[in-house]
Amino acid sequence: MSRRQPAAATWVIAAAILLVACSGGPDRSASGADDAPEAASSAEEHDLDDPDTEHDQHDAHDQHDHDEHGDHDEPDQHDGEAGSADPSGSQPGSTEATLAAIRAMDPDRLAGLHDHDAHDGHDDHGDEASVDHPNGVDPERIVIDAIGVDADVIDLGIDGDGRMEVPTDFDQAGWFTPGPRPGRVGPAVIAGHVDSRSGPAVFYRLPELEAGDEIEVQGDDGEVVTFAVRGLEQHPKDEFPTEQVYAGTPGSELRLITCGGVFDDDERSYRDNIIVYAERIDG
Amino acid sequence: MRKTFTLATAAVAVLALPTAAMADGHEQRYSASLSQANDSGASADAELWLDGNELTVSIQGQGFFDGFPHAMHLHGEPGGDNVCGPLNSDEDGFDAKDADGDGIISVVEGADDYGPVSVSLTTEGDTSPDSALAVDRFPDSDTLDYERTFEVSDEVAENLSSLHIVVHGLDLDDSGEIGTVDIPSSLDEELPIEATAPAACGQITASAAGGVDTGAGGTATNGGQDGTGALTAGLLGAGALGGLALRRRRLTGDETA
Repeated sequence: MSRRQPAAATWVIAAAILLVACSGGPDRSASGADDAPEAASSAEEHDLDDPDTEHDQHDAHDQHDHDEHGDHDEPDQHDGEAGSADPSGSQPGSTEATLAAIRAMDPDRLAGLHDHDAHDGHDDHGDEASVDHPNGVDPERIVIDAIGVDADVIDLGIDGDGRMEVPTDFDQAGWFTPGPRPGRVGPAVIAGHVDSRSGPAVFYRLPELEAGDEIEVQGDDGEVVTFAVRGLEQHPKDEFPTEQVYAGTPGSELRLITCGGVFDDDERSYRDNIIVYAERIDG
Repeated sequence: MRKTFTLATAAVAVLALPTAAMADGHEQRYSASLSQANDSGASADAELWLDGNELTVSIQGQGFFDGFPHAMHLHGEPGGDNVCGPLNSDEDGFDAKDADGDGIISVVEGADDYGPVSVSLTTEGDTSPDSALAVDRFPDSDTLDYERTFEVSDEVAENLSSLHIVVHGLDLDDSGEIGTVDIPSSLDEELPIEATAPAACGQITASAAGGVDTGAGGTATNGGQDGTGALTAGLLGAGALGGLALRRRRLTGDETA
C-alpha cells in the first residue's frame, strides 16, 4: 500500500475540520447537533491558528467516546435532521481532509473508537431472535429416522495433509470442529463411514435420503437442531467440491459426507464421496 | 500465498503456547467470501491459514474506494453467534437494522450483528482492537492486496469460524471523495460516516483438503465395480477420468478406511 502524505493545504483543511469538531466544546455529546451550523461557517473561514485545538479535543474526549455506543438505542441521534441541513459536526470534505482529520486525532482517543458494546455474540438478540439455538450445538448424536441412523457424533479435525479426519469407530459419525457448530450460521460438516471391512457402517444408507427428509443433531445439553435434506451429490474425491461444501452460507446448513462409487482395492478406498446438503428448518 | 515468515514472527511462534487449536502443527485452512455492504459494489476473497496461534490472512478485493485506508477487522465474539446480517438496502431486515433510518448501516448498527472487533487486520504492528482505526496501517487501494502473518490469541485461534471479516470505508454518494456525505460516523462525531461504515462483510469458514475417506470396502460387491452407495452415473463428473494424477495421501491405521 502507499501512504499518502497530505499536502500543506490539506492540513489547513484538516485543522479547520478539527476546529469545527472542537468548537462545540465538551457538551457536544449525543445531543450536540444543535450548534453545528455555526461550526460549519467557522470551517469555511479556514481559521486554523488556534493553539488550543488539540487541547479542546482532549476535553471533548470523554464526553463523546462512550455515549456514542448506545446510539442504536437512540435512533434519533443522527437521523434525518443531521442530514443536509445540519452538518452535525462532521463537515463534508475531501478524502484527504477526512484522512488528515483522523490522523490529527489523539491516538488514545482513536484507539478507543471501536465497537465495545457491540452485540457480544451470546444469544442476546432479544425480540429479534426467532432461532432457538442461534449459536448451534456441540453435537453428540445424529438421528435420521428416514434411514434408521441414531449414532454418536465425535469431534474431527484435520490430519497432517490438511484432509478431514474420519472416525475410527465405524458406527460413529464425526463433526468437523474447525467449521461452524450444527445450527449456527454456516455449513456444519458431519462425516461417517459407509462400511467397515466387514459390512455396513453408520452412513451406509445415506444415498437413500431424499429432499425433505429430516436430520436431527442433538447437543451435549440435550438441545436439538433439525435440518431438512435439500439434495445429494456424488463427486470423485479428487474433484471434491470444496467451496460448495465448506464455503459460508447465509443460513444454518449441514453437510453429511460418506463414501460411494467404485472401491479401489489398491488404495483400499472408495473413489467418490457422497454429500448430503441440508438446511436448518427449526430456526 | 504463504510467505516466508519473518524472523520476528518465527520468534514469537516459538513462544506460543501449545494449547491452541491445531497446535500439533497441522495447518488449518479457512476462507471467506466478502460481499458488499451498504451497496458498495465491493467484494473480496480471503484465505486464512492457521498453524497453532500463527494466522496468515490474504485478502484480494475489488471495487473498494481507491485512495482511502480501509479499516479491516475480524469481527465477532469468539465462540459467539455473530453473523454479517443484512447490510444492503434490498435485504430482509435492513430497515429494522438501520435504526436511525438514514439508509446507511453505520459501524454501530452493523456491529449489532457482526459483533465487536476481535482483531485489526493491520499491515504492520499491533493487531488488537486498539488499532481498529489505525489509518496508516490499512490497505488503501481498490483491491486491498492484503497479506500478513501474525499471532492471534488462543480464543481467536479456536473460534475463527465464529468470526467475520469486515472491510470499512466507502464512497456512499459516488462523489469520488470520502467525507462528502453529511452524516457523522457512529463512532465519533468528528469522523464522517463514509470513513467508517462497512463496505463488505464475509463469514469465515474452515475447510479440509480433498475428499473424505469414509469407507473400508466391506460392502463393495467387487473391487472394480460400483459397490455401495453409488448415485446415478449422471452425477459423476467427467473429471473422474481426467488427466490429473490422483495423489491420495494415505492416512495411517484405521483412518485409511
